[in-house]
Amino acid sequence: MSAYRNESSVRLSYVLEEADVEEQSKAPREEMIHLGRLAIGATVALSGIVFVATLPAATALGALVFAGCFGLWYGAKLKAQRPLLERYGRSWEDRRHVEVEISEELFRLADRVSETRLAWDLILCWRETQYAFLIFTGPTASHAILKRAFSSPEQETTLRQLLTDRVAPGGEKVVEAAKRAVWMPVVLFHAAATLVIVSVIEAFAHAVR
Amino acid sequence: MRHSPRVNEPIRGSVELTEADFVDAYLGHAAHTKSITSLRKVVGVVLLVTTLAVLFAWPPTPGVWVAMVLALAFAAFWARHQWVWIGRRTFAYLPEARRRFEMTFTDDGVRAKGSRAEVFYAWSTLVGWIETGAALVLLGPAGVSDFVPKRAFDEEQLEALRALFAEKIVPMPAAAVAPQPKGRSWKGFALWVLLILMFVAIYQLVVER
Repeated sequence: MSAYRNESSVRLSYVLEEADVEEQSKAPREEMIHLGRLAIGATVALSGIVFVATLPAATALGALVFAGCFGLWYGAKLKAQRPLLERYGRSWEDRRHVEVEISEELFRLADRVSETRLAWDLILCWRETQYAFLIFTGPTASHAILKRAFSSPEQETTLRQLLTDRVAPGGEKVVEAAKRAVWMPVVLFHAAATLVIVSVIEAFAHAVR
Repeated sequence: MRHSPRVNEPIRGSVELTEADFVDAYLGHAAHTKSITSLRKVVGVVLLVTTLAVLFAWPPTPGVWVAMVLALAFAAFWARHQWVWIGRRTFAYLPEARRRFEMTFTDDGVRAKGSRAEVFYAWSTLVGWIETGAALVLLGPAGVSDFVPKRAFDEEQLEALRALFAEKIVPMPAAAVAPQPKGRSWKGFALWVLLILMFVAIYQLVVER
C-alpha cells in the first residue's frame, strides 16, 4: 500500500481483501432486509383490503400466514446470498489491486484490468462510512475508497475537502428517490403474488370440500 | 468516425445511446436467461390449477376471484415489463454527458471515451456476449455489463466485432455461470405444491372449526 498527497490531490494504491468486499455487501444486505419488511407489510395491508372488500376470511388469514412464510424464506435467501466476491468473476485477482487518483481536475479509479476517469460534474454525491468514502457515479452505482489506504488523517481531510468543494449538492436526494423507485414494484409484486397463491389455496380447499 | 477493420487494428464507432437501446439490451438478456418465459410458465401453472379448481367448485364465491385474475394478469404483464422498466430506469440514471462517446475495441479490451468520462475494461472482466436485434450485449459476472448499438458500426465492423468477441471473451466455467444444478427448478416447484397443500390443510382445519 502506498499513498502521498500534495496540496490538492490524493493518490492511493491498495490491495482489496475479501473482508473489504464483505464489508461493502453489508449495506445492500440491510436494504434487502428492509425490502422484506416492506413486502410483508404490503402483503398484510393488501390482504386486509381484500378481506374488507370481499370478506373471504380464509384469504386474509392465509395471506397473513403466507406473509410470515415469505419472511422466513426471505431470511433463508439472504443467508444463502451469493457473496459479492463472485461479481468480480475470475478477474478478482486483477481487480483487487486498486489505484485512486483524485485532484481538482480529475477523478480516476483503476485496477489492473479496468480504469474509470470522470469529470467532477459526473459525481452525483458522496457518503462517508466508518470504513470508506462511497462515491456515487449514478443513483445506484458507487465506488468505495477504503479508509485504511490513507497513510495519515491529513490525507483523509484532503479527500473530504475535495469532495465537499467539488461535488454539487442535491445528489443525495436522487439516490434516495432511486431506492424508493426500486422497492415499490418489488413490494407490490410480492404482495400480488401472495394473494394469487392464497386464492389458489382457497380454490383448492373449496374444490376439496 | 469509422475505420475499416483489419487484423489488430482498433475498431471504432461513435455511439449515442437511447432509451430504446437499454430496453433492447435488457430484454435480450432476459430472453437469454429465460427470465420471462420461466415466470410466465409459473403464472400459467397457477392459472391452470386455479381454472381446474374453479371448474370443480362451480359456482365460485365472487369477489376474491376477481382480485386473483387481476393479480395473474399483472404477473404475466410484469414478467416482461419489468425488464422494459429496468432498461428505462438505467437509461434515466445515466447522465446526459455519458450518453455520447466513442467506443474503441482493441486486442486489450474496450474503451469508451466521451467529453466528460473515459472508461476502459479488459476482456477478462467479461464472461459472455449475446446479440439482439439492435445491439451486441456484453455480459459480466453480474449480468449486462455494456452493450454496443449496431447502428454505430457498419456491417464489416460488426463482423469483425463478432469475431473479436468470440476470440477474446472466454465464457465462465459452467459451474460459475449456472450455479443451479439441473432439476432444482422442479424441486422448487414441488416445494411450492407442498406448501399449497399444507395451506389447504390449514384452511380445512379453520373452516371446520
